[in-house]
Amino acid sequence: MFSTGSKFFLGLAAAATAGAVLYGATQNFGALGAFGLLFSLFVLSGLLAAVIWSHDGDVSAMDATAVHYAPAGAVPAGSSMWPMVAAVAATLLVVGVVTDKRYFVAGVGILLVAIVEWMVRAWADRASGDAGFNRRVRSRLLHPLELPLAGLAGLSVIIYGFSRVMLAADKKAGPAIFGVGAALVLAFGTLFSAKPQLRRSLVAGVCAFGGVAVLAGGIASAAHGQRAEITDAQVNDHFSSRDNPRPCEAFDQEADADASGAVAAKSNTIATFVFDGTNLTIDQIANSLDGQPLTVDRGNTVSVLFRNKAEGEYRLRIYGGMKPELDAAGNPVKDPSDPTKTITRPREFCTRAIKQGKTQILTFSLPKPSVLGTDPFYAEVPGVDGAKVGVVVP
Amino acid sequence: MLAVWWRFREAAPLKLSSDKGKMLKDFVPKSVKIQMVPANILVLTMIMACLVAQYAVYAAKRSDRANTLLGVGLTGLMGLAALNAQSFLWHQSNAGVSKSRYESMFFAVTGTWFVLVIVGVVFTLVTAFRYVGGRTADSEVVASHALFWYILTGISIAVWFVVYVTK
Repeated sequence: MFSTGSKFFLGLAAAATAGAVLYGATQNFGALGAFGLLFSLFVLSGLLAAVIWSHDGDVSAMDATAVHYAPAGAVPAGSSMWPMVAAVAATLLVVGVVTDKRYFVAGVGILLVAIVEWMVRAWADRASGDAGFNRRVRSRLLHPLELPLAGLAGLSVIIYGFSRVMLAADKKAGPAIFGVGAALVLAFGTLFSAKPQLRRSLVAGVCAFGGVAVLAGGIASAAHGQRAEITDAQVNDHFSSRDNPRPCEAFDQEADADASGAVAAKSNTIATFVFDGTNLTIDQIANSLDGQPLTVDRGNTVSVLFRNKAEGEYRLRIYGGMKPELDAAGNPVKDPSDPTKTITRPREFCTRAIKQGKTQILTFSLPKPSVLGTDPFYAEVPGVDGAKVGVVVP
Repeated sequence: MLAVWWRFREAAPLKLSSDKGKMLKDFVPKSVKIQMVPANILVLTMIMACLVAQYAVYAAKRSDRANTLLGVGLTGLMGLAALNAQSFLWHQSNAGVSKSRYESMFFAVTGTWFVLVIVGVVFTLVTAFRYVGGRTADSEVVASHALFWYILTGISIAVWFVVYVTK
């Protein structure tokens, strides 16, 4: 009468009952533990009823149909790595929630892949009693999905690895590495194409070796870090913005190297600043506003020319008042010494430092009227006292 | 988890009700807003999921492939709708995971429920795939799918009553 499964659950249910009575009696039946044990008893009783009703899922040996369709009589499924992959993905999900969003996103992606692969694999394993046929069924369904995705993943690894190598390699060695890499791909591609009788394992081995070499090179390069010029540029912010305090200093900077010294004749400028080594003069509207400050419409994006006629390298700087310093989220940064105030910095624009006889164009926009500030707006040549012209924003 | 919830609620101080007529447990922080309409919709959605899951079982036993798939598909849709309702509740509640004891338990209970429903939706996907793949004779998977959704609905009703109704 009692099957193996029912004996098991009967024993557990009896233990839960005894535990609930004992624990409840000693803890006055008000404790959480008694509640948990009674809940366990409830669940175990349900499972006991289910196994008694189904006789542990056994079928009669005399029932030919039931014997044929019973799960125990089916061909055992082969081993599969997808449950393990799904477990790893689930771990990544949990770790990602508390550490880094990227792990979470990776976990979601891997979990989706694992579910689909596992589902199709389980389905295909029961397609027939012929393992070869089952494999073909699975391949027919999944290869159109797997091969492009695997290609995409492989390509991503190669591109990422190669980009790390190129960022770490010396500027002069970069073209050589690129050329040698391309030559190797061309050479092996030609070889594989010309000799189709080559063993597939050899071709796969060469390709795998190339992929691993790029990946290993990428990892090593990433660990080594980018070359000094790029790191220095990141730290000093040479190339990110003209609206930055550092490039507007008087001294020559790396960003000033090889500065363009010519401007196209079709450039639409509103004025030309000329520096002669001592004074900064302005020519606007065909010099009809001689001695007048530069007038700029509020909020309009305008361009001016700066011409250096003095020996040495000089730049033009335009100061447009103060503006609040913003944090990464775009909110004003509070002054640590006085939280009611915000930290401000100059709104300034400047050209690169140019040599004698060269010209640069400067495009800028001033969003606030000049009368609002406590200090006037101006254009100047940094490092030269007196080389200054007023700027008015009505 | 619900028993632990009750224990903490039991230990919470008392406060006067808005009509000053009775004393209530002061368990939910004032900053947390629990909206009952989406909570009720959520539990009704889960009950509807059970009905359509059972509809799929009915159709599978009669080898009605189209209606089986319809039932299974609607079950998955109801599951997604329930997940959406829970996300909306989280978003509207103004609760934070580590702000208070109540909020930590709120997210622990509803988050566990959320994961279980995701598992149910995946189960629905697998069931639908097996049926689309031609295993129409295998009605047991559809029945086990329905059983899973019954259990999920039972859990949902318990969570709804403890977390959203009694608060």
